[in-house]
Amino acid sequence: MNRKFLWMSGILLLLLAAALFWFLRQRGTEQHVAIISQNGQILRTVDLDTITETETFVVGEPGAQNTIQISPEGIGVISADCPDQVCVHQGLRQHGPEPIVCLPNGLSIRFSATDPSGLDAVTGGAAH
Amino acid sequence: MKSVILCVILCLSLVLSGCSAGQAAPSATPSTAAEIDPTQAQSTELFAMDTVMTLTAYGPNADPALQAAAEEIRRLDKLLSISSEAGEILPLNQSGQGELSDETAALLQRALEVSRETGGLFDCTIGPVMDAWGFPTQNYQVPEGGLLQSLLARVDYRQVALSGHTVTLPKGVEIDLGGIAKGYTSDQIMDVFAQSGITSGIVSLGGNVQTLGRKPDGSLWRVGLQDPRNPDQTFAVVEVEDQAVITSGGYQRYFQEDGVTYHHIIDPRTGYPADSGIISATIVSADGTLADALSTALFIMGPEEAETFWQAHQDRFDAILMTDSGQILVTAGLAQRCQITTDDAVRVIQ
Repeated sequence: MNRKFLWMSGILLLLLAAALFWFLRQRGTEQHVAIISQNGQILRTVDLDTITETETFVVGEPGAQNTIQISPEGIGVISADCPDQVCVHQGLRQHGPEPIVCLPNGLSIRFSATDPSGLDAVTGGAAH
Repeated sequence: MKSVILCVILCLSLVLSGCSAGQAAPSATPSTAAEIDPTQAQSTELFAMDTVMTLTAYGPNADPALQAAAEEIRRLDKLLSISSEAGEILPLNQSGQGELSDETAALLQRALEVSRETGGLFDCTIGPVMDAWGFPTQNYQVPEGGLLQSLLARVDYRQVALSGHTVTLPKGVEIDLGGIAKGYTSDQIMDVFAQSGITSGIVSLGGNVQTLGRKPDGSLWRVGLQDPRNPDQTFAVVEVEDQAVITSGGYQRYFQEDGVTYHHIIDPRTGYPADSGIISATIVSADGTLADALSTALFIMGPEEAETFWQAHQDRFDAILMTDSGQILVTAGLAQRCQITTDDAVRVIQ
């Protein structure tokens, strides 16, 4: 009984170590950089892998402003004065392939890292 | 004990090789695109047609191809926009009569054909009702029922008289090619890419995706389908080459009033946002123009009618539909190229 328990514990530890190795390897292969642009001009480039605390800041002029949050969970628009709030609905993210966009305010947040599932693009409910 | 050890070795092999259960295997079929250096990818992003567009092309001609594609987008935006003084649609709607260019007449003809095929569920005269809801201007409001009824009298593609290049519209009827223009534009970009010597490229016009050839490594493009219940996630992945993947859903453009959500896909029969039982309609087709129009039409049709429609037109497109009960319907042509990534029930339409 004891011998079997030791075997099972050893196997479990081995599996956990392998899973940790795989996770770190996956994480290390791609840098998570976000590029914040407005009307074609790059406002800021953020290395999301180095973020340890939550930061919030506002971009744009009054009447066309977005409040952006950067945290260890990712980057996103948490409030905006645009009427449709599509940018806010996109939540916090760390990777693409699609950018976070506020059309009325000409804001986009693009990601250097592709989707972990290897997607080349995402189709959404934009067509009408 | 030996079997346990064997099992562990197998598990470790899978984990260390980075295999992901459920991930579709890449296609083994080689293509000429495999010779392209993937580091020669160029991307550009631009705002046009009320959306953000991301264009990517591979190969030594990628940069001039993207510039030519951006010029083409700006040209079509001006030509087809409902609000462009320099285009052909605004003057036509203002005067009720006009001569169109070859290109615009051909696109209007296509819009009228799809309108006819879908029994008017795609209707290029829906503009006045969309205006009443405030979707084009984002000045959202719920129109009064009486107003909607009077506006619906102006919504009927059969009232558009197109003879050669000459169009005549009854008073109050307006043409809006917005439901088909982005699909047509992505078709045109594929032509521009091809004429520039590009054999591998992908564009996303605000979520309307179209692909040219295969990826530089010879594998198929992998396009995720946004989950309407949780737009941060995808519920399916479809693998394509030389095809458009275009989705209609009510979860991106909407507003709320008195606790009720109103989305932007209006049913031309009622004047209200479609409530057909479909919450996401994705069309996969080599014809981006058709895919754009049909994504709207199938969203409005509902699951039963959409199934019948596909069975009658299955040589022209495939579809992935999600119903409000969480069922996913996949047409048979996609069954081998579509991977569902959620636990939802799936039915293949034959």
